[in-house]
Amino acid sequence: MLLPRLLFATLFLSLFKYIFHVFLAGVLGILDYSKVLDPLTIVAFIFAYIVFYVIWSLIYFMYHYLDRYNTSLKYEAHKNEVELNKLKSQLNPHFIFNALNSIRALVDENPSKSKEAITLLSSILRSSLVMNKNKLTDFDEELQAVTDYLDLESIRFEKRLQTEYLIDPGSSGYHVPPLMIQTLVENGIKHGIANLKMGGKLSIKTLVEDPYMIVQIRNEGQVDNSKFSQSNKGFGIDNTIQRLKLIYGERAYFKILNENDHTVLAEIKIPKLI
Amino acid sequence: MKALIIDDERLARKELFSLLSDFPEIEIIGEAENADEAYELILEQKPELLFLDIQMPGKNGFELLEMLDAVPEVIFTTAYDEYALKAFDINALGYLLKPIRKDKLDESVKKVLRLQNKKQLPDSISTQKLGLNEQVFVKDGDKCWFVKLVDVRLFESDGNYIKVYFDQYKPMIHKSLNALDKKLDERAFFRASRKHIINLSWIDSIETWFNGGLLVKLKGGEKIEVSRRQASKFKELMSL
Repeated sequence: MLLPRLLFATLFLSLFKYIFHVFLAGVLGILDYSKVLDPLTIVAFIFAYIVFYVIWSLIYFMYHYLDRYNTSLKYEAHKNEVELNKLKSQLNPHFIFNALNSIRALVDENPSKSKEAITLLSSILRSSLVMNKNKLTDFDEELQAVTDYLDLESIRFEKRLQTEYLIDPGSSGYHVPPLMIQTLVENGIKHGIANLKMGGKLSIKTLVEDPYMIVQIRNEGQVDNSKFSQSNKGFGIDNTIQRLKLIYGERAYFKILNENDHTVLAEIKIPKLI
Repeated sequence: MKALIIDDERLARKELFSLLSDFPEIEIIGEAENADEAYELILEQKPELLFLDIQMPGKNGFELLEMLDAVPEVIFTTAYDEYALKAFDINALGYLLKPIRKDKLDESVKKVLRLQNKKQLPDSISTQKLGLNEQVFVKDGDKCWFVKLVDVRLFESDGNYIKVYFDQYKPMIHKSLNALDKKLDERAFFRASRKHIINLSWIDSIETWFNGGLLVKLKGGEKIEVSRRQASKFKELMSL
């Protein structure tokens, strides 16, 4: 497809260049009439031009072809990596086995609570299987998954975990990347509250500023900023940034910071439409 | 056998406690929910066995062991911790994955009891010093060892660290040689010089050296100079 067009273009350009050459020589008065109509001269000149143009085109197309091939490969690899990390980050084995261990102890201590815990765990497993398949999920559905998760962690951490929900009613109309909020909540527990002997509070707050929604997750603890500057960025954090970028481009953001000397704030801003 | 359960989650402690009720050989003398609490209890109650969770708020299980001079037998309990368990590949210690399987618990407990029976009466209890039967916990970077003092040939000071020579390893621990010297049983270990403490049972040969010093060759191949000041003490000790 490309090749005949390319050959035609080079032939045309060569002819054009020859004619232009003759015209220019005529204007300057250095035209040698005996050579202009000599077929050998014509063929030789045009052939030389064709060779020149073909080589130039080959280099041009080669360069762009390789460049595009490279970028698309990089993009694909990047996308796959983000997807893979998303999968890996969602079924946290440490959480699941600890939860099962707590449930085992509850069977003797409080049978009805242990039943409830089993239901919560199955909901969590189900949502991580189902929600993985979609690019976006309803905010309400995500909030349900987060609530289930926190309810189960409350059974395990007992008094050491308090939760608070401050949800803007307008949040219902929004969509979020599945389990993104849950991953951040899990991080808040794993790196924050689980490391505190007395435990602490985890709060989830949403603010709707049409057409954007801001989700804030606060937990007691401190983030070590020096850790983020290195290559071993928190798995969840790096992955969250990449996922937002893939879905929304520059219109969404994620940040995590020490709000004060005992609270960590993780915040995402998401637009209503993709 | 006196045992201590250390885990930050009440339900996890309760579960292990109920599993252990089927083992009359194991007497649970206490529970701790963090490393500092456990440290106090260990000094106070001197348990012979620890069931130790690795991930805890504050100091983790490894940090607790590093705080102790002599460590009892340890069975680690963890839900899932690839990183921590990798550290133990080389000396295959007992660990249990939560939720704990009864048969695995049975295996671990039996192994510990067998070890306990092999031990002679620990002489350290009377002297309050670290004898050859004691074990220490050594962590160097990602790797960890429980090392019986009987296997340690040599302690060598290196800046603020001590190199512990045993088998083919010589990991570093962050302690001072002087402090260690005071704690070691003087019948088993000898301060050869400012930089070295040797295990007397590992001595292969002794030669006289310059200035009235001695050169001690250990069975591991290390050659240690005994300073003149220590040499007379050493001769006295060896002639007994």
